Amino acid sequence: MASGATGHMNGRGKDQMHVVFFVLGGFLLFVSAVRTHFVYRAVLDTLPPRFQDDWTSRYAFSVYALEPTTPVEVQAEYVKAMGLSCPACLSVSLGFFAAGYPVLGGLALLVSIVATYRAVQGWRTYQSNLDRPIERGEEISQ
Amino acid sequence: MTKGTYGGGTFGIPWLGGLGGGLYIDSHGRIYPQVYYGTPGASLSAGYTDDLEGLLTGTSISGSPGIGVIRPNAGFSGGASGFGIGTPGVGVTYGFGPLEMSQDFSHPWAKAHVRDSAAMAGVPSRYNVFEYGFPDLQDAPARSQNRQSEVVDNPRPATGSSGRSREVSVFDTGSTGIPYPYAGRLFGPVASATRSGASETTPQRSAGGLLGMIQDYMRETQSGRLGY
Repeated sequence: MASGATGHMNGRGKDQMHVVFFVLGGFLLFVSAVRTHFVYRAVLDTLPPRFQDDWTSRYAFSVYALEPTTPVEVQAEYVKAMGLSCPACLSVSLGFFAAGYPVLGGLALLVSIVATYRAVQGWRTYQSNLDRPIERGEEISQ
Repeated sequence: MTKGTYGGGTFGIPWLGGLGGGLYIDSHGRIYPQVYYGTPGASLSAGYTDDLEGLLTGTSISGSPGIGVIRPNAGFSGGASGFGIGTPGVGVTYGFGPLEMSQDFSHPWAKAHVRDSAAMAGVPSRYNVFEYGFPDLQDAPARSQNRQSEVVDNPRPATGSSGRSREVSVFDTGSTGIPYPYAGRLFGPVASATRSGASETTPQRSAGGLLGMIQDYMRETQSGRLGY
């Protein structure tokens, strides 16, 4: 009786596993979106005037977010948001696989690989910006 | 095809060129997850459509043209369209669902506890009110037509599994017809419906006057047609 109940629960747990992955992926994507939006608001004023309108600023933002002239704290937030998108996409991918959609799961997995690659690139850019204080306009005391 | 309002948002990941996802909810509490590709960043929109499922599922294109932070928004998906307001952005979405979440808003896991509490407090419901002559849910299903005659022949009450006496119920045997002696005074379809049962025992009386003449004529005609 107990083993039957356990088996039933295991069956239900497998059935509901894709929901867990989707909810986790959606939550991580939401957190990433909120962090990115805060970075966007912080970078918006530093963009060239021709890129400050509601439309073009959304495309220019990702280019200027990791510029050496952007404050380091803002860059760090941006890199963290990039890092969060990797497990978000991976979780969505696992959700599609668990739900029985291997094609969509494969596409989401591809997206998560691209997101990871971009996050690593962004991390390297951020690290190189940290090592270039002169280009950020800071004085080096001798 | 369901009419209603909808609202939600999408997020295009900037470092993925605007690929992302979103979530929409309609006025019936149903949720539509979206895969999004379009303007990077977050976009919100809300509107009204006469085909919620058509607009929010499958491939659709939506945009907010104009000037300002809040703009008119329009979305199209096949023959379905929706109009409302939204933040700047243009994108293509592929929607899933609808996910029927409205049932879960009532906390189904708490229903059993609420029902027990209501029964202990004496609140009548379909689960705790004893209805005379109605069998328990856990008792055997209703008897077949062959067994009904046995019950009528032996009307001694039996005891069910719940300890309640199982008497001969009108739900098992069916009720006898009720004679209606005034059928002859009725006119129209009601009279013809009741006459078949009452005319054998009650002589038909004329209403009198012109109406009575018409009634008598129709009775004679009907009797002749049926061969009485």
